[in-house]
Amino acid sequence: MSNTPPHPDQERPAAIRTLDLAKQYGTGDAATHALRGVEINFHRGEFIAVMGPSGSGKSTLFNMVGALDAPSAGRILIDEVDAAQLSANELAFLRCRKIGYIFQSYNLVRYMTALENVTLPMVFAGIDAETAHKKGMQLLEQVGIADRWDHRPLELSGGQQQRVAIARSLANNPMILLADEPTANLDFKTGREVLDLLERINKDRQVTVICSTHDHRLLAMCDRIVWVRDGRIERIQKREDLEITVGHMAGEDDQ
Amino acid sequence: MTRLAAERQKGLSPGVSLRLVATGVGFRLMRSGVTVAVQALAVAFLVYVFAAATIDTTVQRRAAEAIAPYRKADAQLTRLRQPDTVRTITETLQHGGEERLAEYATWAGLTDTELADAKWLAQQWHDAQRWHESLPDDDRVLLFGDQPLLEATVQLDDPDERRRLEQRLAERQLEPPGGAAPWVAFFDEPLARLMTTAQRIRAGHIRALSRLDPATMQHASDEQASQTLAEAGFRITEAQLTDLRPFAERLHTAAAMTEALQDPDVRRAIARRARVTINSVTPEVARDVIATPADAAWLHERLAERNTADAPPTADALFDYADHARREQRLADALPASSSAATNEPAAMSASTESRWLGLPPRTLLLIALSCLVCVVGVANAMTMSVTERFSEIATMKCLGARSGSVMTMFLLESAALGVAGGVVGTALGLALAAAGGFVRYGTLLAMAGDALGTLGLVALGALALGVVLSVIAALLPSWFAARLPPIAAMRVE
Ligand SMILES: Nc1ncnc2c1ncn2[C@@H]1O[C@H](COP(=O)(O)OP(=O)(O)O)[C@@H](O)[C@H]1O
Ligand SMILES: [Mg+2]
Repeated sequence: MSNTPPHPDQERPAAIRTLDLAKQYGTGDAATHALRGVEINFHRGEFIAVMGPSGSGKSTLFNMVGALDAPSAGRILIDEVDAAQLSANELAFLRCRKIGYIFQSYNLVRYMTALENVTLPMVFAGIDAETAHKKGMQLLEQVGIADRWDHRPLELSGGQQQRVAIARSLANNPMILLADEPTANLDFKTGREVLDLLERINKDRQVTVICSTHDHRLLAMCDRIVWVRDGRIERIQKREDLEITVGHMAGEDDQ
Repeated sequence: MTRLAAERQKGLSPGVSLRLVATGVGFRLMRSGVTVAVQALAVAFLVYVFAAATIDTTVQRRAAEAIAPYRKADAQLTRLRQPDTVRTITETLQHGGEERLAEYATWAGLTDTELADAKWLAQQWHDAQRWHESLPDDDRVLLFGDQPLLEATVQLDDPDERRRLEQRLAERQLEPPGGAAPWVAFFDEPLARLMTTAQRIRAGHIRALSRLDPATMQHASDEQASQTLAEAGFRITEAQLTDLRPFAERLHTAAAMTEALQDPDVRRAIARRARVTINSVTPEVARDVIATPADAAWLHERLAERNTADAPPTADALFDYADHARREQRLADALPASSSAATNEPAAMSASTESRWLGLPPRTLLLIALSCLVCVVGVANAMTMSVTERFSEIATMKCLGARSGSVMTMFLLESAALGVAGGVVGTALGLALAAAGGFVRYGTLLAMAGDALGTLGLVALGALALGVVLSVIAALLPSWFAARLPPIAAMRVE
C-alpha cells in the first residue's frame, strides 16, 4: 500500500482510519450532507462510544466504516487497506472475517435457530460444519443463552435476540465490532446487560468495539467518546477527562 | 491479530449451499405452499395427459390381442354354419390364406388357373374400391352418386355408360390406378367374371354345409368331426377343432338360453332376479344374472323345470358362457369403435395420427404449453414474493460475508427444491388421476396397462425434471434481484 499516508499515531496501531470522509445523499438542492469531512482513528482494542443527536450522521459513519456503503469523498482504511480499492468478493471476505455487525433490529434470520444464526458467518467463511457447531455453542455460552440454542428468533425476547446477534458477530473472530444503537429496541435494564456484554468482550478479546447509544452509562465503560454533530466530529474525549465534566450524568442514570 | 490481506471471499460448495437451503426448510415450505401447489397442478396435468394416453394405447393394444382368439373362433364357427357372402368371398380371394383358397377351389371345382385369375380379379376389385373410397366426397358423388361401388357398377355393362364415366373422370382430372380406360373397362366383363366365380364358390359352400348335421357334429368326437368336415371340403385340422370346441359349446349354450327365454316362466324368474320388468329381459340380462357359479346352478334348475325334449345346458356350461361373453364384451368395449367394427386395416387411425405430435392432439398440446406457462408465472410470482419478504435477511447475509453468487445459488436451489416437492406431489396426483380415469374407462382391464409401467415411469421422471427446470427458470429473475441487493439494505427497518 504505497499510497497509504504515514501513520499519525505511532504508539497504537489503528484498526480503522478515515481520511476527510464525506457522504452526501442526493444531489443539488435536495442534497443532504450526512458527513462533512470526518477524520478519525479507531485504535486496536479500543472501546469507542459514538454519541450525538438523531440525524447527526452516526449511522452514516458506521456504514462507511463497516464498508457497507461507499463514501462520496475521502477514504476509509480498514486494517490499513483502502476499502474503495476492494472488489465485491474482497469486500465480502472483509465483512465476513474482519468486521462484526450488531444491528439495532438484531437482523437474525427468522427461519434459522439461534445456533444456525451464529454459525452462518462461519459457513460463509468455509469452516466445516462440526467446528462451526462447536464454536457456535461456545459463543452462545459466552453470551449466556446456550440453553436456547435451538430456538428461533420469534421464540426469543429482544435481549436474547441481541445476545444471539452478538454471538454471531464474533463468529469469525473479527478485529472490529460495529454496534449502531444496539440497545435502541431494548428496555433500560436489558440494554444495560447488552452494553455490559460488549464491555466484557472488549476486555476479554481485545476487539475494537465501536458503539453508539443514547444510554449514558456507556460513557463510563468506553475508552473514548466521539461526539458527532451535523456530520462533523464535534470533539473526541477520553473517559478520564469526561468523568470530571459529566460525572454527575453517570450518577443521575444510576438511580 | 492477523493482518488483513485483500483476499477474495470464496464461493459456497454445492453441498454447503444445499445445507443452507435445507435449514429451516419446514418453516419456509409452509410459506411456499402456493408455489408447490401451482407447480404440482401443472406437473399433475402434464403427467395425467401423457399417462392417460399411455394407458389408452397399452390397454387397447392388449385388449386387441386378447380379443383376437374370440374373433378368430367366431369367424371359423360362422364358416361352419353359414355360407360366406359374396363380399367375404372377394375379400378372402384378395388376402385370404392358402387353406381358405383351397376350400374355395374344392367347393367351386376351380382349376389352378381359374383360382389365380379369381385372385387377380379380386385384387383389382379391391384396389378399385380403395381408390373410390379415398376420393373427396364431391368427386365420388359425381362419379357414381352416393352409393357403394358394387351397386353403382351394375349399370356399367352398357358401353355408353362406361364412356360417360370416362368423360367424367377426364373432366375432373381424376387418375385411377392403372389409368382411366382400364379402370372403367374392369367394371364390364372382368367384374362380372369375378362375381360369377364368387357365386360358384358360395353355392359350393352351401352344398358343403348341407353335408354337416349340427346335432351330430355337436356330439361327435374331434376325430369323427374332422373326418366329416374333410369330406365336405373343409380344411380344418383336428387340433384346430379341439381349440374351437369351447367356443362352439358357448355358442350352443347361448342359443339354448335364448330359446329358453321364450318361456314366460323363465323370463319371470330372471326378471325377478335381475330386478327388471319382464319385458326388458334380454339374452344380455340373462347373461349378467349369471355372475357366480351359484347363479349358474340356479338358472340351470329353472331351465330344468321346463318340459322340453332337449336337456338344458349344465350349470358349468352356463357359467363358462356368461363369463366368457362378459369378458369378450369388456374387451370389445375397451377398443375404439372403429377398430372393433373393421377387422382389416386400421384406416381410420392413420388419418388422425397425421396432425399429432407425441401422440397427442394439438389442443392438448396447447393446454400443456399453457399449464407450463401458468407454472412459470406462478413460481416466478411466488419466488418474487419470497425474495421481497426476505430483503433484510438477504442483505444481512451479505453483511455476514455472503457473495452475490452464493445468494443467487441459494435461491435457485431453493426454487429447485420447491420444484422437486411440487413435482413429486404433482406426479403422484397425475398418475393417480390417470389411473382413476383408466379404471372408469376400462374397469379391471386397467391391469393390462401393467405392460406400460416403464413408460409411465419415464413420463413421471420427465414431468418431474420439467417441473424442476421450469421452477429454476422462473426463479432466475427474482434470484438475480436478491443477489444484487446491497448489504446496506440490512439497515432498513421494516
Ligand atoms: N439513505 C438515505 N437517503 C437520504 N438521506 C439519508 C439517508 N440516510 C441518512 N440520511 C440523512 O443523513 C443524515 C444523517 O442520518 P443518520 O446517519 O441516520 O443519522 P443518525 O444515525 O445519527 O440518526 C440525516 O439527515 C438523514 O436524514
Ligand atoms: Mg442512526
